[in-house]
Amino acid sequence: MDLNSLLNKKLIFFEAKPKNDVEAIKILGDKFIEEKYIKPEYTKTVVEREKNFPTGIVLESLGVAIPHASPENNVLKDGIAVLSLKEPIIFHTMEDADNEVAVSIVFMLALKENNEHLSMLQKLFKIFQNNELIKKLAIVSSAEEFHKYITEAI
Amino acid sequence: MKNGKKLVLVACGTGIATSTVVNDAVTKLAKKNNIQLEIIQCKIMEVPGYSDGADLLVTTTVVDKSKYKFPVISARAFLTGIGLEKVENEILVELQR
Repeated sequence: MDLNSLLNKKLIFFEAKPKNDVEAIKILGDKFIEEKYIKPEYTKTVVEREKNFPTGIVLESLGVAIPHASPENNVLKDGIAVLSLKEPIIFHTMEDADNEVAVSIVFMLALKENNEHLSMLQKLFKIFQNNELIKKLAIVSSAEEFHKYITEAI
Repeated sequence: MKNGKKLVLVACGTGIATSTVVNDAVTKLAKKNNIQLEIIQCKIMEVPGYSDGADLLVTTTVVDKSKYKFPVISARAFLTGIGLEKVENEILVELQR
């Protein structure tokens, strides 16, 4: 299972304008449901978990978030859904729920089992550590381009 | 300590995504430095249940450090790459103690 096969072009979005983290998760959750990756319950558990264990991450040049939850039989297929935001929204940071981060790209994860995603997750975090790539990803405006930059980089 | 090895707990909110990455990073770090250790990967909520004999908690999530009897190290650097060397050194110091 590699990142490329998990990152479906149909699940990369640019136009939505969520007001906050919960809205962003619901938008991506609905897309996941449309493409039959998850059951609706998964979105609820992700919203719930984001409250208790936020997933915002401060990178060198911008903020990202990786909302996800335990699968609990609600994940039908592994995938990553992406929402790129022209106007960043506030998430709370993973290591300190009292801290806020303005998030430009939301990567919602749907993962079926523990520990089977190591190489995919490592690639995702490699992307986060690649400042030039992250900056490029934040300004592209088509799923094709977004997908291409990631595929070229990993 | 467990079976003569350091026992390291690696935790995140769900025990599924970031802890998987950190587990691998800590395993490689220990191997590179010839340190024998045992790692338990779990949800942060499960940490108290594994506390017996634990030498160190490495976590990506929100944590009240005063709650634990063992040192707690933030693993954020394994995700962002920022300050990675410093965190690796902190972990090595604890493992070689």
